[in-house]
Amino acid sequence: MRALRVFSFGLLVGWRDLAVFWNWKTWTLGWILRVCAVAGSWILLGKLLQSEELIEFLLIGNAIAAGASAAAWAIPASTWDRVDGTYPLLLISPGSIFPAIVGRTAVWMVNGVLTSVVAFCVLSFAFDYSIEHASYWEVGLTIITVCTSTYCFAVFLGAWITLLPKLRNVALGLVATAITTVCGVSVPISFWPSPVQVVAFALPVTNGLEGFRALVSNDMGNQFAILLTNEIVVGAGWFLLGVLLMDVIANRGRRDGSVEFM
Amino acid sequence: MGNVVISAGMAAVKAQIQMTCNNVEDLLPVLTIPLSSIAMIAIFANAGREDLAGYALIAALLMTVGQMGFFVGSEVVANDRNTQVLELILVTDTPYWLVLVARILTLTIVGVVGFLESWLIAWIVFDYKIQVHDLSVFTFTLLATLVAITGTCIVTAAIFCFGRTTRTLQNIISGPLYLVGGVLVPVTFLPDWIQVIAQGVFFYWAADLLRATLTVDGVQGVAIGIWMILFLGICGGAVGVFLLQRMLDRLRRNGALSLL
Repeated sequence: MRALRVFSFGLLVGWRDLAVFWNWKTWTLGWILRVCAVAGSWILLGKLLQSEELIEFLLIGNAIAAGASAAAWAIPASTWDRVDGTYPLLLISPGSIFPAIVGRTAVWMVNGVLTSVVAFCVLSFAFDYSIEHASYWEVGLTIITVCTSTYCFAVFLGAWITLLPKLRNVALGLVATAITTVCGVSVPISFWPSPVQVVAFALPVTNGLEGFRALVSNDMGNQFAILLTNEIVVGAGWFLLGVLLMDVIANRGRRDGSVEFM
Repeated sequence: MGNVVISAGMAAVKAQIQMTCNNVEDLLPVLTIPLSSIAMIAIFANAGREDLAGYALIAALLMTVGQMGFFVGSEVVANDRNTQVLELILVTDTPYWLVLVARILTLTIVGVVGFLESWLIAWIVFDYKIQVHDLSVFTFTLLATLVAITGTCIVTAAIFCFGRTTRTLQNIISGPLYLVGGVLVPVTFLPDWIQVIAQGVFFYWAADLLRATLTVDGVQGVAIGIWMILFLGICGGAVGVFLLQRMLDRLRRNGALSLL
């Protein structure tokens, strides 16, 4: 019960973090405009190369990756307690640090889901694309799963980056770009050599996106369900590692005093 | 007077280099562009269009110099407020805009590394050796683009100096500019009304000229292109200096030069 209470306070702090960046006007006219403009630039490559299949491929990939990248904002958000000077206060309180950090950062997962949903709608309208062989709830389910697993990965990386808070935005930039590059957003996974494919399937986004692509291409098997389950397993694995790591790093900080206000 | 301007400018350049060396985050655009380049070139490689791989290199170049300016350079005034040095700079004889121009220009020049990185990526990862066929036009266009980005970033730096909105605006500005400027894909694939707007964005002229230098056909409209880049950049700079002065006057009146 106490962990739940801490988590709910964390959520409240996270909501205030989000409000520092965005209100409904700047989110709609600024953030979404930016996300759709970036995705639009990539999708236009399909027009340049005169391929309807590529337009569809890049639209689906970029709309889903936009939400995943937004969920990855949980990486820098994990370090904000160190920057604010509240990290040592969390450490001296009884209990694990994880409900407070997960509570504070979870808002970026929600932002990711909303970003992806709106980007999908705007980009589909802009490129006159209508989805076939997939229902709206399957689109929604894919987006929620992918953003959640990316958030779980961000919790893991965020735990590490607490040790090097100055690199928080560099880590976010690299993760967001890596997702676009190797996770099947820009080119099919089969394009990459086998070792890269192995890494890609251990990362978030890849399984969920592949599953969704199988669904859209009218794959009659149950690839969608299998790959979406894989996405959940990948996310759960990273989350578990992240939660364990968070406490290990917190305990190390307690011992060696490396949790000072930076 | 000329010597004073040069020495003040050089001091600002030196200070910016020292600050960037102490803050790896300033180099974020340079650190992420290799991965972005791989993604862009991979799309052309997967489609069997090696001939268009140069588009990715030009996009990587413009995005890196753009990000160094818009993301890092635009933060300079807000950072000076945050670190309480703005007051100290303003009581010196050197105009603040001069310090700002020198510092932002330094950052955008660092962004040129993005082209070298993506060229190496194209060569090492994809075995594409992309040639610049008209090196002089490429160089002059790049120099004009650096001037234009610096000028435009004075506007954004002035607007961003009201601390709370800095990160929000930083995250908004670049994407739409790259799309409308045809940085990755020429604007001919966009609706007509956007193509009209695009001509008021220096990226449009820069991207067209730079892409043309990679083709064997030769570059058309060099003079008008470079003049337009410089004209738009200088107009941006003039507006930026005016805005900066207004912002600083307001902060002085409110006694908030170093209060965020």
